[in-house]
Amino acid sequence: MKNGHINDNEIQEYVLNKANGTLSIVEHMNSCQSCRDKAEAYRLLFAEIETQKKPEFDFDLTALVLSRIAHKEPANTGTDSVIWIIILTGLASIGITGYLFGRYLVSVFAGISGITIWLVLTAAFALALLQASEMYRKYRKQMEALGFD
Amino acid sequence: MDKVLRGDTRAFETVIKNTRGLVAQIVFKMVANPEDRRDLAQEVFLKAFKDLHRFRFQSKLSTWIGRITYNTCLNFLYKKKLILIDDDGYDTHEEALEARRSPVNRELPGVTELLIFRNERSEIVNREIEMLPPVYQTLISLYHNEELSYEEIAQIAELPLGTVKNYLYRARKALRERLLLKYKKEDL
Repeated sequence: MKNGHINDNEIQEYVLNKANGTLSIVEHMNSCQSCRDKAEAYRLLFAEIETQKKPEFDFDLTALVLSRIAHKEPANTGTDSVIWIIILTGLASIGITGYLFGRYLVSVFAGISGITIWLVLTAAFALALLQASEMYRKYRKQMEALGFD
Repeated sequence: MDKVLRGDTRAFETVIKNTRGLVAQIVFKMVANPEDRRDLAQEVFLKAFKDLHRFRFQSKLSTWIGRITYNTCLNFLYKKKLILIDDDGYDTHEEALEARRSPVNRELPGVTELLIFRNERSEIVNREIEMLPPVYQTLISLYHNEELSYEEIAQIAELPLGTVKNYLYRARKALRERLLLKYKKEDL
C-alpha cells in the first residue's frame, strides 16, 4: 500500500472477488472513500465490458472451411495398423496355444481347488473392473477437454 | 471423439461450431481488416484440422484452438510490423503525457463521471477498447467476455501467468483512465 491506499491491481482483484478476502484490503475498502470510488468505477467498467456484443463472422465459416478440407486426407498416424497387428497377434497366440495344449488344460485345472479358482477369477474380475473404470474416467476427461458434453 | 481426432469432416464441423466464438473473439480483437479476418479464421481451422492428431488432451480443445488462433494472428501482426503492446496502453506519446498531467488522473473521481455517460457508455467503452493495443484487447475480451480463467488465457497466449495478470491489470487501468480522460475532454 503506497500513500496509505491500495493499488489498482489489488482494487481490480477485490472487485473481481479474487482478493480472497484479504483482511487488510477489506478493512481499507471499508474505511477509504477514494478507493471505494475507484472500485465502483472498475465495477461499472467491467459490467460494461461484459455487456459488449460478441463478435461474429459475417460469412459461413463452417462451410468455407469444410469446402477446403473436403478433399484433404487427415494426417495418418498409423495407429490403426498397430492396433490391428497387436489384436491379431494376440488372437493367433491364444489360438495356437489352445490348439497345441488344449487337451492338457482340463488336467491343469483339475489339480486346483475350487476356492483357488474362485479367488483367481474374482481377482481377475476386480482388475478388469478397475481397468474399465480407469478407461471410463479417461474417456470422461477427454470428452470434457473436447467440450462435447 | 475418435472421429474428431482422426479428422472426420463431419465431426470437425462440431469442433468449428463449438469454437468459432472464441476464434472470432481473438481474431476481431487482433485484426481490424475484414478480409484479413476471413483469411485468418480459415487458416486457423485448416491448421487445427491438419494437426488434430497432435492434440494430447493436456488442455481443453477450445484452449488448443485458441492458442492456434492467437499465434496465427500474432504472426500476421509481426509480418505487418504492427505494434502489439505499448508501455502505457496509450496510442501516442503525447496522449500518454497528457494523461499523466491530467488533474483527472490524480483525483480519479470515477463513479459520478461514469454515471453521467450512462446512455453513451457502451459505445464509448467499445470505442476505447478498440483503441487499446491488440494484445490487451484480446486479453480483456478473453477474460471478461469469454470468461476464461487467468490460467486458460496463459495457455492460449503462451505467456507466464504473472505476465497475463500484469497485462490485464495494465489494460484495465489504461481503459479506466482513458475513459475518465475522455469524459473530461468532452465536458470542457
